[in-house]
Amino acid sequence: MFSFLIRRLLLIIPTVFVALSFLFALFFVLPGDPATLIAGGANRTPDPGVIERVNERYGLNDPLGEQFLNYWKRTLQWDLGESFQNRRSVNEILGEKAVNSVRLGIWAILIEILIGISVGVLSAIRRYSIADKLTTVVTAVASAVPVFVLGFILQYALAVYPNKHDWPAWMRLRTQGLGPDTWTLFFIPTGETWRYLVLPAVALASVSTALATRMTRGSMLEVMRADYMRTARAKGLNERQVIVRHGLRNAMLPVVTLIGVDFGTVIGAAVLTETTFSWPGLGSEIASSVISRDLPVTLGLTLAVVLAYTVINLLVDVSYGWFDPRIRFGKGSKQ
Amino acid sequence: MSEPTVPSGLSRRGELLLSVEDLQAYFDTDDGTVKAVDGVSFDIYRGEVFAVVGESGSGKSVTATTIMGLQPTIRIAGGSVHWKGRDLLAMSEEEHRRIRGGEIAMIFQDPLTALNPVHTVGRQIGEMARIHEGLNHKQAHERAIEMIELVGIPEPRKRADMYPHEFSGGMRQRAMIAMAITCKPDLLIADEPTTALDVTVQAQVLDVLLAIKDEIDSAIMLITHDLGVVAGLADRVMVMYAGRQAEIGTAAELFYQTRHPYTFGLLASLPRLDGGDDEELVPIDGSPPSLIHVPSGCAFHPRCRFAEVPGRCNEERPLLRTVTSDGHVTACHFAERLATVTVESIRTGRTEVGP
Amino acid sequence: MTVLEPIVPAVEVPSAPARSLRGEAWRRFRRNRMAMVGLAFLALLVLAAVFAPLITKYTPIERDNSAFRQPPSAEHWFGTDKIGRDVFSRVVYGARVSLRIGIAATTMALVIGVVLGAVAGYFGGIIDTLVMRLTDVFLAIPYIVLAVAIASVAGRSENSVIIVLGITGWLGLARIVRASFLSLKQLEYVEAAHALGYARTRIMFRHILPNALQPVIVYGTVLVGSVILSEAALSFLNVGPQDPTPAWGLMVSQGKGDLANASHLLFFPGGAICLTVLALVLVGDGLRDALDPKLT
Repeated sequence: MFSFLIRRLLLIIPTVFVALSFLFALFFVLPGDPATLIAGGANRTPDPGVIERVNERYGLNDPLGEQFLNYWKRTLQWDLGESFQNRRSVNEILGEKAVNSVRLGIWAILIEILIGISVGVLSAIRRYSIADKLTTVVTAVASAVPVFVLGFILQYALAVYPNKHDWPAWMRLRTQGLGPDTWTLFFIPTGETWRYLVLPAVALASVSTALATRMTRGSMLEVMRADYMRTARAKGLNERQVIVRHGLRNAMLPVVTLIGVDFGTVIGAAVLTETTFSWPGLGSEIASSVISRDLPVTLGLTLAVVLAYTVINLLVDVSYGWFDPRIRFGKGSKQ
Repeated sequence: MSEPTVPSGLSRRGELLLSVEDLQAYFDTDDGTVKAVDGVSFDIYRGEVFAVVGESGSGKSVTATTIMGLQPTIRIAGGSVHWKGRDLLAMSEEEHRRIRGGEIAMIFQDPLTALNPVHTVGRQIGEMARIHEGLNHKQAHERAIEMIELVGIPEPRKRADMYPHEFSGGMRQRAMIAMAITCKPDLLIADEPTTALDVTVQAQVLDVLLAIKDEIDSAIMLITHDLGVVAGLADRVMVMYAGRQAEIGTAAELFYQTRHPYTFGLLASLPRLDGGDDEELVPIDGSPPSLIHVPSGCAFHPRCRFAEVPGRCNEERPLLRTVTSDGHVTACHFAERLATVTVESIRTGRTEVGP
Repeated sequence: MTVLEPIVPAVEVPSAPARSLRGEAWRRFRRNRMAMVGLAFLALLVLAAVFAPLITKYTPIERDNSAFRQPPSAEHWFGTDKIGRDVFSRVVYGARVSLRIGIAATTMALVIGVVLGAVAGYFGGIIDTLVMRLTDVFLAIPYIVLAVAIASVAGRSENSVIIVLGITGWLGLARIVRASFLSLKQLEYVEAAHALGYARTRIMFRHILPNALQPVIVYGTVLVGSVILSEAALSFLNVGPQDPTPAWGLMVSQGKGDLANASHLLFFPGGAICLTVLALVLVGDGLRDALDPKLT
């Protein structure tokens, strides 16, 4: 187990290094002079003096190799640079936006795990029932609806429509921003904040929840046919005990992997969801920094996202070892 | 039920545990009704090893799992199953559940897939005692260690905390046996317990099974397709074909006073250690019939070298009747004619029978 | 398995001649009602895209200065947008954009994925390691972030979206093809081809690839769907084709301020994306079931 962890960690370092160097190269080597962009954007012709000052300030006159080295030197010291646009420290921006994204993400993943797994299991146990068929249809549709379209559907159905038709105040949800932004225990909304949280959390959770449901259902159906389930029944366990004690954990194995791999999808969906709901998180910040070509912000925030993604996947691998003892001991079964 | 007559040839006369009477268990499928078990009757007494023999699809496993109540999709079309005088089929699921594992325990064919890969062996064995005897976690663990020791696995304390994939095939099957006997059941149903194992460990596992049976004074219903396994082990044998009984008798009767052509077929296809190198194994021609469209009359007639077709064999389903002794029963119209047939004569092709 | 298993072999199953394998797959596909509905929708979509000028009264960029943000009517079936363009026409022409990007980017991803996967699986060793590490690198950067980044550098246009989705879409394919090659290269007929002295590329693409195609077909279908979904997302983030191109995602993005007063501006292009992707998902599921019956 320990050597497995070490091996995983050693693989992460080159991966992250290459990924970020690639992004760096993308921005600084490909056409589109950063200084011109900073000084006024691609469509204007800025004063050459301005360009010179910008190049000086951001070290863009140095040879590329040196820029690259400097970039890594600063990055390793966790200095992410400052925004081209407003000279704010990227570390500061990261800290501020990450909090919002993490709060939203926690709720989305809670929804994914709670709904996805329970509906998937129930759907498998009650195979061929109306509820099971409905689940199949809903998950298929949900995986085909883009997050932003779902976002707008939710906004219309649960916020715009109720407001138009004067529904009671407690039923109305909000669609834009953080609201009062008050929280307890870091992630539990207090006061009116929940009205702002519900819709983006549901939208963000939708695709992953659909995936997790399908995966859990399929996995559970397979587990239900397993010999050890029959053994459990033959022992005299009742059906509930058979499923809870012997089925669930085995059925969770592929789902756990999915939730880890799927974290990339969650990040992608977060970019769209945060943009749709004007939720000031990492996703919307990355998207807008890309469009305004604020390279240090894009690079810095992307670095954070890549690291988070890698760490989460590492944690998933570790938890996989807990779920499946065959992995824990570093050897698969031969038969 | 009237007082049962104990068949002759039994070495010990134990208490009547299980009594199956004309059991008919069908699966309804899209293609038709699969008559998996079609009128089977037998009794099992404490202390005996009762073997059920047949090819794949002969209904032997379905018979066992029906007794265990592990066939949720099955339709019981007729017959009865009595356990110590109580009707198992009429019992509530809750009552049946208490018997399952506690009084009747089952050992499955492939111990690798039959054991749960994510729980330790000790926990899986201990779970039996927890549900049936209400032991707590710690007591159950101690019991598991005791059981593991009983089936001859070295270092039981260490082994209890290991996972099935860390065991060898033979060890796994011993663990399976340990699990089945945790609550000292009266009947152990062993479904092909050695088929998935290496030949070298088969004998060891069977020895353990027999020793345990005496230790806890139970009976064993041994399901197998291998008459070789039966020979050294079984007190009585039931041969099944196409969901029906072909022959029942003591092991000696079946081997030396065979009265059913199918039993002969099985014997002739069995390699013998004492046979010469040139001795030919004679497979049974054809393949087992579909259980949806069972042949008319005697289900075995299309493959039977003694059949009179057209005639009684394809027109009239043979009833079970007593032949050489009280307990020796066969379902063949021409059982008496088989008295002169020997396995050797089948192997050499001289199968003419007297009138 | 349940105890039913031993019974199955007893039921005679006539073995189908290998020749009819494709016909058999098509027969199974046709029986799948949902997949057929998806296929029919896709056929309609392609027809609409090809014959767009015949079925629309207006061009997608023509403005009607007397009709801004009008709800659907007999004149404008899907209403008009905020500068008076016909939404129906824009949605129909938008199918061209989506299909063009979907097919071009998928083709690109297929080529990259199949070649890299084949090379990795066939040669193994250091090449295999390199390709697999490359997929790790691409997987480590959340794909939409990468796509947004590349698109912003390469310029916001249809072509850059195709390139972005092409070079980010091949990861899964490469893994699938690699796995097939790893198992197929050990088969006897491949060794026979070696013994006959055929060139390696010939063996790879003539002898092994055809046998590895089934999962590629299924994955490719699903990939078209996810490419169209991503294209819509990039357009929505405004890093895709620019106005006046009638890209569905861009139309949704442009209509987002009108959710309350002119929701048809979001509803129709959004619905077009959902239906197209759903149709592709259904066809993909149907194909998978038809080509690999043991999975069902």
